[in-house]
Amino acid sequence: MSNDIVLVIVVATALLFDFTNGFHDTANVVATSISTRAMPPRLAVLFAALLNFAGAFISIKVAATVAKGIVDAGAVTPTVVFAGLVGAIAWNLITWWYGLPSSSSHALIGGMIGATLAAAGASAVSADGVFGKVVIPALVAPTVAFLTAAVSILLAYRIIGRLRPGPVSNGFRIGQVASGGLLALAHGTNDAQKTMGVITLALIANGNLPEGANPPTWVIVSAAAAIALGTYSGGWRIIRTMGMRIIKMDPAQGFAAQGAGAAVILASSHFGYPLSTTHVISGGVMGAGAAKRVSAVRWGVAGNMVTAWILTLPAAGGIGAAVYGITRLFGTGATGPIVVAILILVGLTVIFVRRVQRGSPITAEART
Amino acid sequence: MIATVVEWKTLGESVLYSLVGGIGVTTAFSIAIAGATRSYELARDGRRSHATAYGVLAGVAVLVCLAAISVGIYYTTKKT
Repeated sequence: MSNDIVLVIVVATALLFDFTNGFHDTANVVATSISTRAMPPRLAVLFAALLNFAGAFISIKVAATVAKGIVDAGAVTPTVVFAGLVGAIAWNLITWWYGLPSSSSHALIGGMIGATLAAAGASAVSADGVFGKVVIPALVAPTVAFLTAAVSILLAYRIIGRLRPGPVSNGFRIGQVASGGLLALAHGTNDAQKTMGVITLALIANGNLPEGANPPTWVIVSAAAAIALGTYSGGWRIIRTMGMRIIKMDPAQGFAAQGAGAAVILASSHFGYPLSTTHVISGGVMGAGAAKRVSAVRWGVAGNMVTAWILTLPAAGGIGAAVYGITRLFGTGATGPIVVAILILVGLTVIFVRRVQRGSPITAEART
Repeated sequence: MIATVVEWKTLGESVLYSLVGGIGVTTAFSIAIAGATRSYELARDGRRSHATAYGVLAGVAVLVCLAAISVGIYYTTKKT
């Protein structure tokens, strides 16, 4: 009974994380389309939400690899998963508050690592797995997106160079609707699977599914719905950073950045790499800007983002470990997760009430 | 240590697909826009045959983009 209560809390927390993932990473999908005026903000997030939902059904390869080879499955209990998720949610909310496009994927992996370390010690975490499946892709993915977008925009400028800018910009704006759609689909494919993977991990840990099982249909549908709802809610603070504060984009650059991002995410989804869509799109945006003029990129903003990326794993891990420690203060039963879940709900309610009282500082309408 | 931890072949293939796909689609779409714009301008100037040729170029480039996107989605859903 106690285990089932913890499992229900874990599933609810995983779906909350998925919501914050969509909400936090909306910027990755829509920021370039909004900043170049390819689409109105509300329509852009609705479009992205629908394609995020559809994308979640395309593949479950990343779901199978999200924590595999990084933490010892034998050490993972539902309470460990819960603590890891809380670490990830907390880091997502902190970075959202400061408008920093950090990685939800790394927050999730960091949270899981921290909670596992606290629960079972260092031997339960594979340094090789962290290096090979997290650190290397984190270095390679944004670099490849940067190079792809940079080469793409240089070729595009060469091809369209002497043509009248009006029709060319309109053409790229139309193209951005398609490339933005592809990006949203890729985002749903890659990111919704992480939540599916975590819920499946908890179900396996609780004995509801056999080892190595694929996510059940209800897990796929609920994860798809949660990320789509989060995306529709729109994280306007991060959209502003991604769409306007890194570079001032023209439609061709927006198209090149989105095309590069979608290509990298789809390719890595094909090979089962759980990479960060945030890192990829940020790399694409910077590449599209730097290829035109290196000084066009606001490197100070980019530096803040990279700092947040570096901090993500240890910060989410630290919170995950602390949350696991707090739950253990109440013993090994369901009391600890229940207390922490209540505290989270109270915290979210306070944030929501304060935001309603102050009025939303950054909205779709107040984006420019 | 790095050599054994990282699946370099898979990573290399992923990088290659990303580069070819991303650069290919943007280039093809730029050709489509250039073709369509030139076709419109030439048709307006009464140079029908040249306008048609640029129109065909734009059409082919759009088809290349659509094919690349379809292949990308297909391979994402297909098992490695």
